[in-house]
Amino acid sequence: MALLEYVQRKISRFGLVPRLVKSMPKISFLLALASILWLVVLPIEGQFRNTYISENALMPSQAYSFFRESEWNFLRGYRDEIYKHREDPLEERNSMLQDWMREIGYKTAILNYTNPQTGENRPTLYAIYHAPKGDDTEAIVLVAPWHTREGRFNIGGTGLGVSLAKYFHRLSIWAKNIIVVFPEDGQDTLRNWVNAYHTSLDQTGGSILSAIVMEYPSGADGIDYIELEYAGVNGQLPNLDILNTAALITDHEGMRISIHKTPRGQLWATDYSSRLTTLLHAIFDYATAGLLSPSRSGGGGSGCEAFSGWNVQALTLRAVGDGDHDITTYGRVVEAVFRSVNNLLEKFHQSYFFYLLLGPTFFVSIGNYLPASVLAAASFVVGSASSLLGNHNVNNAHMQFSPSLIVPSTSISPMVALLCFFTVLSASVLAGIRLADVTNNFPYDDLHKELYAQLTYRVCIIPSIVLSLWPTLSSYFFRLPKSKEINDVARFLNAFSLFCFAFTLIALLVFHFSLSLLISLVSLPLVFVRYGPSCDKNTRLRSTIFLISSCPFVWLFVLGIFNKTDFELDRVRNLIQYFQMNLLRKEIQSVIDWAELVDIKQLLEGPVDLLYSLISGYSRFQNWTWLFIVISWIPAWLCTLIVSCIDVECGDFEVDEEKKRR
Amino acid sequence: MPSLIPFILIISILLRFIIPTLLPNLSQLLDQSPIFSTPINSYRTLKEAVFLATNSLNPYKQGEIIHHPPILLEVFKHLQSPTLINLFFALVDTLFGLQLIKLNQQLSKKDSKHTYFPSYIIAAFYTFNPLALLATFAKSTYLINNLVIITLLNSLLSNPFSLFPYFLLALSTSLTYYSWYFIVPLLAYSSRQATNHHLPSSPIIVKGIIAFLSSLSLLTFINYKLSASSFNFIQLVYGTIVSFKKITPNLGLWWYFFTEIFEFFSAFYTAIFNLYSFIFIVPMTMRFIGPSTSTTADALFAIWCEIGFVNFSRAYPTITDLNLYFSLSMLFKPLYRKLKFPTAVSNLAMFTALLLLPVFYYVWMGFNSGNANFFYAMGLVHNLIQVLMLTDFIWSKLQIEYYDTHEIDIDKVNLKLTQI
Repeated sequence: MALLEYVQRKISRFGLVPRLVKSMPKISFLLALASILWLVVLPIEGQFRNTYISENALMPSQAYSFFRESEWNFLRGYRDEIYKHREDPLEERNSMLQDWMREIGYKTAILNYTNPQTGENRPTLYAIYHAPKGDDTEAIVLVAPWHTREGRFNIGGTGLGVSLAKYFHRLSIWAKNIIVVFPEDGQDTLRNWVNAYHTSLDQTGGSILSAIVMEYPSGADGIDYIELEYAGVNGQLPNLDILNTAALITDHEGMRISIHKTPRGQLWATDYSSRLTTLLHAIFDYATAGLLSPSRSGGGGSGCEAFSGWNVQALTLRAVGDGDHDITTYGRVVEAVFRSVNNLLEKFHQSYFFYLLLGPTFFVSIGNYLPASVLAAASFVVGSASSLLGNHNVNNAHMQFSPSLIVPSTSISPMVALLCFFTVLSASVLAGIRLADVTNNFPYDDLHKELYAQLTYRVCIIPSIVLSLWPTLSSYFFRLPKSKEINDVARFLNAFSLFCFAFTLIALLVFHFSLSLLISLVSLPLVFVRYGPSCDKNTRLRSTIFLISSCPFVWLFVLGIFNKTDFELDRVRNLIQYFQMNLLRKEIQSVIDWAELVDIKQLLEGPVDLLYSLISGYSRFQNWTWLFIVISWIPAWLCTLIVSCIDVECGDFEVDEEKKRR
Repeated sequence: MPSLIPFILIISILLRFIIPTLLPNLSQLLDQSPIFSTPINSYRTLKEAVFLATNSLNPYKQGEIIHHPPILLEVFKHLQSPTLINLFFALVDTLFGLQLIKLNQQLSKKDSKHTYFPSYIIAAFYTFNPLALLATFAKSTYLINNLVIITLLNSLLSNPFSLFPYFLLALSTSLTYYSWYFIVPLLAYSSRQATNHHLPSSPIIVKGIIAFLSSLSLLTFINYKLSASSFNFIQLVYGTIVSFKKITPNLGLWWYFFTEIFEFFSAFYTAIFNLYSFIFIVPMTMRFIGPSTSTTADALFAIWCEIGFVNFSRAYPTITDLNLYFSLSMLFKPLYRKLKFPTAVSNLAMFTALLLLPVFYYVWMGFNSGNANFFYAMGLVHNLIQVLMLTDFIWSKLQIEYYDTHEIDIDKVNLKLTQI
């Protein structure tokens, strides 16, 4: 305490306070910069850790896996049969599988489900094996969707699913029940099954410890490597132990494992740049989990998102390519993960639930990466304080800061500011809920596509850009008298909205680090918006630019378009890491080629898809991203817009001085 | 402006009555949060006990659900309809606001040297105080205790020799246990006032103690009769608090220790925590009520500090206790001048911590991705802010006392006092 006071006295003796106050915008920029630097530092050797199994009971790959040559014929037989019936309606495919599963010895049932989007019937077949040795209270789930997330027929996955089910039934080791699920897709249908399992299903097998979604849309006999996806919605991740188990087992079987779409060529790389690429990919994937999807399904993710929120450790294991590893190797990976989970005596509780992966065997735990997001959110706190201390008023620029400035002349102006903020907040929440309500009434099909396109462009993106221009436009015909009250209202509204934004970001970063970080980075320009007299065209123009660059809907547009391009971060990494003129030329050429071929109309559908998955996120996957944007980002943006439009004719001091003179 | 006060109070009643009537699920929702309810004061358990009692089962003899005193159960047995209950809580909380206004008026009348908040600001503050509103919506039974304590302070200030405060203290003790700590400042204040009025102090002290003990035994007897002639309720109502039997997460400091330590340490920790919650009562009383120059405002300040400290160190703290502490802090406007952290800053910090608490709780309980450390860490931050605020007020009080005794005008001389 004494030391603090000493520092405090020194600061005030050297007159540092006014200078510190003046440099607050710089400080908040530096904080944001520091948060990026923090991230870039994480992949440096010594900053991250190697993964390890902390739950001893798991014992991955300790037992010999028998899913080998003896199972080939079963696998091939099931696969061929499924292949013959690939064009059949879902009901017939299900009944065929139901017969097989019954024959094997599973208890089967079908959950009916009508997709609210398309009105299609999508019954889900599931089969339960009540392990004779277990106490029938816990289960492990194997999911083999009929179609992969890209919409391709999951021939390898379903064939393997049935043959694994047959094989599992022969083993006598199970202490947990085994449930095999065959949903039509791994998105809405699977989610519906998961919800029903935990709420209304009659046939259940106890609480689900973990789930594995298998995807292999090829009839080939060999695979190249395995892609692992694990990010759930709302920043929920499976326990690191199960990820490690899967990674270790895959390695043990002699295959490489790819996380976050690492291409084949990088699977062996363990250098700084590959780790950084994976880190950036991870942050982006966590933040947009369940929102972006290659097929026109309006998001929905890779399958493991369907289990989010039910405390199920879910993984998606997708076999890729046509390589030298036998397809039973893929089966053995799933078998070994199942046997590891089977060994568990308690639910997953060791190890980490909050982590960032830099590679299949490298991770950073929450304590080490959280400061990045804290720094980014802190830049808004500083911005809010800076606004409260009068920095954002252009007229104050040449004046010294003094503490008397903070106190409002009347208690009415802060009240007006507060009221204004809450009005904006409630308007934004009501509009957001209304928008989300649209998805309940109108399915996202070809018939209503036009409606959603209009919603995206005419209701969201274009109006918000026009609104951003308002500070510049209004400067031509909008005047207000000089008054301390107007100054105070603008100052308090600005400070208060920024503070609330900062607060929501801080509250979010505990459980959804990546979303909080990304939003605070892209909306950072809000901190630099300043207000002043309407004749000051320069400030107004700058405000417009900052507002556009921090607008949620502009970012929706950018992200939507971005999702439709085939951008690969890895190519950028390659270009930077091995920079050569030839390489650059080649990359530029490929961009040009792409631009020539691209269909603009299809590109413009990207934002529509994204908006749909955002606003339908809560009702479909309990994804809170849209709700968060509605209660924090949009009100902060709107309040900053209002503030930048107010005509503030004088500095906060001048009015005081005038009053004294009078 | 004074004409505004009845108007504000009417708004206060309406606000506290209409919102829970319109949103009947609100109280249930809030009651499930550890921030609003603990096993000791949960409205849910009270309702269950009322149900049992009306079905001729005695909740004090069978089972361990209820930790409310039998008197309270008797009151709520007669308040069965939701409208009546809502009205009851709205009235209790508004009466609290009214008492706060009166207290402020009395204080500003007695202490002419300093300026206090005008009554309408206190009224408006209390009416729209989110802590008070939420506590009322959660139907926390501690609201009744808060009302008793503030009435006690009021009657103590208006007549230091009356025995009514001792009766109220006994009532409050029978409601929440911890209030008996305040017998120390009460007796000290009475004896101080007696000396100031040149009266012998020992008869007053003896009378006070007798009044307190006799009314406490009367209340215990009533409780005993109400719970069908059984002393089980003492174990249930007070024993649970003292020995911290129900270990559930709450805002306080205790629960984490008891979940982590070995069983055989728990007696030791119970003793230490109970001692800790009491240990500052005597010194604070001696410092602020002891000196011959001490005034009514000083006595009130001492009691407020003790309330703050007990809040921080009690076994089952909730927002409702915090509400008492926060509301009373409005009375010490003269101290605001010398605070290290302006009240706006400390309140903002407090509210940020309070809003983050449910988030951390959800990460632990809802998501299952966090653990107990998350919630406890946030609870620690919350308690730290509370204690910082308390020490800040004490420091400001000491400074102002120094200026007053040395007759230095703070407006004219720019002095900075420092601790050494």
